[in-house]
Amino acid sequence: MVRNVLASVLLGAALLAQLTAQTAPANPQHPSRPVESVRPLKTVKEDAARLDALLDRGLQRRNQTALPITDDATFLRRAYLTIVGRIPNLAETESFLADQNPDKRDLLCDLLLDSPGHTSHVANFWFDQLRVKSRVQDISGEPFADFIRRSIQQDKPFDQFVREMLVATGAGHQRGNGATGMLLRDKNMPHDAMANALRLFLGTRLECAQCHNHPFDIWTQKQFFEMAAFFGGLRYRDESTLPNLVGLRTELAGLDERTRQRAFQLLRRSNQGLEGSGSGMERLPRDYKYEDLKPGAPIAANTIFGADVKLKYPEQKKGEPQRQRGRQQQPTAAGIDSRSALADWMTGKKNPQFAKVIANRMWARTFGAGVVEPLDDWKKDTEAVHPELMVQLEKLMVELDFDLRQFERVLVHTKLFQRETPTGDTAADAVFTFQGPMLRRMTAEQTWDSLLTLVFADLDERMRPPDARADAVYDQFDEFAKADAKDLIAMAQNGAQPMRAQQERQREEMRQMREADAELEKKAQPLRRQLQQAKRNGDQKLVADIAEKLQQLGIPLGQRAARGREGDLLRASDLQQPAPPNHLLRQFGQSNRDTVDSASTVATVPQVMTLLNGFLDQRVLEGQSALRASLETAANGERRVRVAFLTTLNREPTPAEIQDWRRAIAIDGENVVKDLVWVLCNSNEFRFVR
Amino acid sequence: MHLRLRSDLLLVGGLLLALTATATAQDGKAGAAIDFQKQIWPILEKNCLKCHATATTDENGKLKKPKGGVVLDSKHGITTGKKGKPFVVAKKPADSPLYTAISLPADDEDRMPPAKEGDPLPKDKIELIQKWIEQGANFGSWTGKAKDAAEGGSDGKGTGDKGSGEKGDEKGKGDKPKEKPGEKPKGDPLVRLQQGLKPLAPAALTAFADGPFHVASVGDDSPLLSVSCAGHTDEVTDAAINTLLPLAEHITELDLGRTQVGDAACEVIAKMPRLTALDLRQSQVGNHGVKALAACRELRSLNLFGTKAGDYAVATLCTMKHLEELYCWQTDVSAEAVVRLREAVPAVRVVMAAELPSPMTETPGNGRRRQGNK
Amino acid sequence: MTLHDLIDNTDIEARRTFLGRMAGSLLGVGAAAAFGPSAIARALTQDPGVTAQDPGPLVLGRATAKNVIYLFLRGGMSHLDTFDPKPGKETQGPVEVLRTRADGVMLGQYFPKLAEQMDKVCIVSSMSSKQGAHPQAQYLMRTSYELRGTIQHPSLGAWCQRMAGRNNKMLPGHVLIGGGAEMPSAGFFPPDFQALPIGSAEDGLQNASLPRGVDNERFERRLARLKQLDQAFAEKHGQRSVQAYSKAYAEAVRLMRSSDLVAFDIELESKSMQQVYGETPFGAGCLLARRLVEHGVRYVEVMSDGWDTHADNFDRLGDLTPAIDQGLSALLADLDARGLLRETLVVLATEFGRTPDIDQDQGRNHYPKAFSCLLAGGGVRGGQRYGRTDAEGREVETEPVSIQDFNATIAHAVGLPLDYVITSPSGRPFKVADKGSPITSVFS
Repeated sequence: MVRNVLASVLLGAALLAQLTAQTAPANPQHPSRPVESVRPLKTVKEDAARLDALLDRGLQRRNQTALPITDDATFLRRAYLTIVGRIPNLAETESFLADQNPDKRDLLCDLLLDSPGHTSHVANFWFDQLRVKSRVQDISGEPFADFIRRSIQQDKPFDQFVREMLVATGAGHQRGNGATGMLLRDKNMPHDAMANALRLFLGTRLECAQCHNHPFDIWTQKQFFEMAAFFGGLRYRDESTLPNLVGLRTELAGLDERTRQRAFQLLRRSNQGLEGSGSGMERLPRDYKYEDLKPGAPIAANTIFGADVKLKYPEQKKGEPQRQRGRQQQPTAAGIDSRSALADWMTGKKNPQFAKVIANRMWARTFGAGVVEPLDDWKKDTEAVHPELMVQLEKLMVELDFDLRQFERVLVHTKLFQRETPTGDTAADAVFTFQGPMLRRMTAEQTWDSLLTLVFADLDERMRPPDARADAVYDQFDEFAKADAKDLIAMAQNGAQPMRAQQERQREEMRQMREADAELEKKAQPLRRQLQQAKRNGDQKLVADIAEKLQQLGIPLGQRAARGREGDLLRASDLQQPAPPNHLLRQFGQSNRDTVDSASTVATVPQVMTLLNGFLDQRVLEGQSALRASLETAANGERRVRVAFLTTLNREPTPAEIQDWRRAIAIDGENVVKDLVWVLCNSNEFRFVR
Repeated sequence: MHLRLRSDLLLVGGLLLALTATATAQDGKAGAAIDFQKQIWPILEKNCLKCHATATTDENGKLKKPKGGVVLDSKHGITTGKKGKPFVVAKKPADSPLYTAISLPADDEDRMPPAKEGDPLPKDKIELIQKWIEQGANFGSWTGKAKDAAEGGSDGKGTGDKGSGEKGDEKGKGDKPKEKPGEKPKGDPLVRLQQGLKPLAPAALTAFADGPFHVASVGDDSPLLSVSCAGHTDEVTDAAINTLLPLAEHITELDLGRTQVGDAACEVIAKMPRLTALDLRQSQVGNHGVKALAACRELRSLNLFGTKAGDYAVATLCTMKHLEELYCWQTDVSAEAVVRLREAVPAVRVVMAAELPSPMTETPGNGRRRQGNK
Repeated sequence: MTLHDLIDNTDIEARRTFLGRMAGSLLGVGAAAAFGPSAIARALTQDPGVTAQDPGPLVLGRATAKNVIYLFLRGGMSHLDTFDPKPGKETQGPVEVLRTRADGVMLGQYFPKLAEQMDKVCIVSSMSSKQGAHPQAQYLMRTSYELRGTIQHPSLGAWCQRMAGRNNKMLPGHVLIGGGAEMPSAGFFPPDFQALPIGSAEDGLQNASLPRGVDNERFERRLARLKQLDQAFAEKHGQRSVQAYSKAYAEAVRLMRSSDLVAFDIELESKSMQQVYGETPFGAGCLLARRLVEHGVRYVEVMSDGWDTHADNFDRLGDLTPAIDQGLSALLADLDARGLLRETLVVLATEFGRTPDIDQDQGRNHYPKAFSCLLAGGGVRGGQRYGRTDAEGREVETEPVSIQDFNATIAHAVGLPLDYVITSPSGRPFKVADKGSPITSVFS
């Protein structure tokens, strides 16, 4: 395979085994095809060069010059964090730094784009944008998360991805129907769903026009309702399984209140879904105050810009009374496919905003700021920092047929991606011009995944199948779909808690994982004892040999790290969405998923306290973390200092740093090494992506 | 103030001064004063009066009211302003809505003239209005609309200057407190207490910057002080209270809650004649301390929550006729003692216990279970 | 060193002299507003003494409240079913009405315990705004300004801390309980004015004590080494986001060493006291807020989620309200008995009301035109209703209160000067409650 060929050029044979193990399809979230098989590197480099040239021209016009190319270590760390969302582990770091291949940066980028870490990192991005929540009242968000993970993994073109979410119907908890998640996320709030979709996919803020004409933009309230009409007639339920339940009401009549409540709860949970292809009609609000139309008047779907959409409205039969009250009472008829028309218009190549907005988002995701800012508020007079670059990015997005992984690939193969970051803030009124990428604090997810990399060198190996969390929801639904009235009552009486099954399954999985860990640990015990002995005897060769043996056993030292308040030590994208309020992820600014773009990278005291007194000492410096294991097997003081730097900051220590710490280690070994790791992980150099 | 700055900053500062000096030499205060009627009025007339003229009746007999009640065609209208705030404050453009409204960024909803009514004023016009205000917002002999002339004219020339100048200048002298809307009504003891009281020299206050006490004016630049020590309650002992003696005349609020002070501290507190509120909650103070407080004749509010005070303490409070609030939850004070206190000081509100709601019978699922979806 | 930095420093200097003037009234650590180039440009054309950037010394007004506890019900609480009931009208739906301890002030059936505390509470039932979308309305409520793509405004808590300073310098001046980092907080103010977020009141402040095996001396050594490493990084990276971490570390270490750290631990309260507040996230939040205020934290916010009752409004309220009824009632009674209610303004707010018309899903939808908030303590006269809506709760009939007016009332209580202008880094002037005027008549 191409990837393996590349890898063997890139890496030493010993390491190759480890890396292929990591990137092998064994990992359930591995991308379905290698990037090189879709598009040759040469073409990608040409596209990248075109972007660089346009950027250079833009900078010249501003009398600015691009910043120099970074050193290998900075690039390595940036590439890992930007593409797979975590820092490289010790082996990955050392092999890259030692590699003499002049093309190693290109090769690394492609290797990372083909790794499961990429799926995880991109999933976090969409979870954030689409406000994925594992649970909203009776709706599970896990099928939606599953849909997103799979879409990334399969390189689903972005326009198709969006279309599927806009037109999805049917049961929300049914296997394979996770695309319903976007609209179900805003259940009973189709207006908010429309506002969010416009903001997210077309970079247009219409939400203010929901209540009144936009005070400082061109949109009117009428236009808002014309857009909202595309979601007209949408019903937030799926009743396809109801026919099975004939007679339920009678059966329930004689039963106790508790069972009835339970039964209805089950019914509510399993009936979550979407009905209606869109009526293309909406009503103005009762307090509509502009003179063009009457309050409460029906209004037909119409687009705010770009192509007009023709919908086939049914002819109004004479004498048929028009229903008067709110949107929920609109005809429940199958609709006239206005949602599909919306998807055509929104994702079509003629839409003036769709390609631009996603291209700009991808750029901002890679380099820290958009060519157009803010990302989601494009207006008539919006001007890109480098207009020609923006045009080219849009073109590229269309050329690549909205393949976001290939698009990202072009971005990471630019010279810009290799440049140093600016050393200070842009002046308050100036714009960021991309002399280099922006200095950024790691996102919450990058922070968590990087800290876990210190605990598990094979973190990505521990990723779970995309539907691991959704599986129980699907099973529950299947069971329900088959059930008749009697079955349902039985389920209610047995106290079948839909979520309990899932929790139990998860617990079981974690238990198995722990058992497997324990099994391995049993095998490792004698070796570990020998290792201690060898170290006491100062037999460096034996130490290295045993370490090697342990590795071969498939025991990356330190898998046994404790599990505690942080719950499962899995990549952020495999956890509950969002993490619970006090989780490290939330402390570091993971979005609460209530509003779009509410993730934050601001410094807070609780974050700092976690690093000062919590996670590091509890998980990284105690128990058996990968980092500790590497430190234990290090031959001498100097090597330990180097291991600490290479594992956390992914660079060699300076001679002064080596000397300084070595001296301290000589005096009080064990504790000083821990202090060193603590200091490195608390440093700004650790948390900022240069 | 510049002493601690680096030399390069001084350079910038110098440059600033030099540039402003040239600017003012040409048309600044020292030179030609801006003539309202010739230079400013035409700007207002052209740009503002369409909406902000005194109410008139048009040909059709329809009453045309000034928008937002803002009247800019008379001196009276401009200096009276709205809700008690004049549209121009002499020498303070930043506090003058007439200036701030026209200098807001174009996308601000409150920018005048509003976007749909016209373009922003040209920069030179804005600057001219700003300078005019800086120079003192002198209207000259102009009074504007006839019906306001009587009121406006009687002020005579220069009233504008005086009216706005005094605010800044006389603050903190403490001769006569200003009544502000929302301030306590006439009977406010602080108003009486601060009469004739000279504010302490700033040096006397800076001495406290490093100690455990947080000393601040009670507000409005009053010479009366409020003292608290949150964050340093461990350090505040009977001995530490002595350091407050230099402030004794000025302290009117003293918060010693959760500190280590005991009865001895009350001897010092007794020397604070203007003390109106004393918070001793959860301190070590007991009956004897409270007895000493009888010397604080102005005391209105006394917080003894969680102290060792008992009936004896309450008995000593019976002489304090100004007492309005007494907090004695979680003390040894008995209901009988409180009855006696109420007989002696009928107006006092005594809080003996918390009227807490009954505990929640069951832990509701809701608060936990229901997480909002939006 | 850029011009930007220099200007920043002049401001620190200006503040020091101001500090000297105000003696003990200390603000946060050397915090400063940054001035952008536009401010410099303006300074070149103006007498520096009277620019908008230098509004003169800040003089606080007479405060009626030292502290604020701000309880926020996110999602938009129905006004009709809670604090502005309309018995006998169709818009009232199935909700019964309760008499309260305050004559003539009635509540919806969900608040039997609060009814006993209404002598301490002022209902502002004439709140009105035009903002009916959640993020925008919440933002407006907490900052007094419209949500814009171009600037982040500081929250009222940040203004309070910036202008009035901290009561307890060892503790943060502003704590946000049950809210996330997404809530507007410091806005364009320097990061030191960021609220300290506490994810869950039950857990309190996490990781505030040294880990096992690390003593003070070793911690000091670690910090010294860290400083060394960070200095090297700061030499190459002068970004404010980097500086913000130095400040956060200083703050965290100070907090760890404070004897007031116990304020964050509600487990130190008796079990019965915890039950009195109700063992719900909101109740625990109220209890934590009381402890923090006792220890001198000036501004504490407690968030409650889930009030967006589009469907099953009445069932949902039945689920949501007991925690509020219990927690708020306990808070008011407890604060009062400790003598703290006189100096603590308790606010209960929400971003908008809900439609008087009930839809066929038994739901009520967004309704900014008329809604209710509460004020209690901190000099506010209890047992009153300020402002009225019409017979069906549709329109504000008397004494309309804008969101800015409401926030101005809170600011007024704390003594913040409402006309004091602070300039954003981009050179735009802002005031604590924008153009709001306080409702002075609610104070006694």
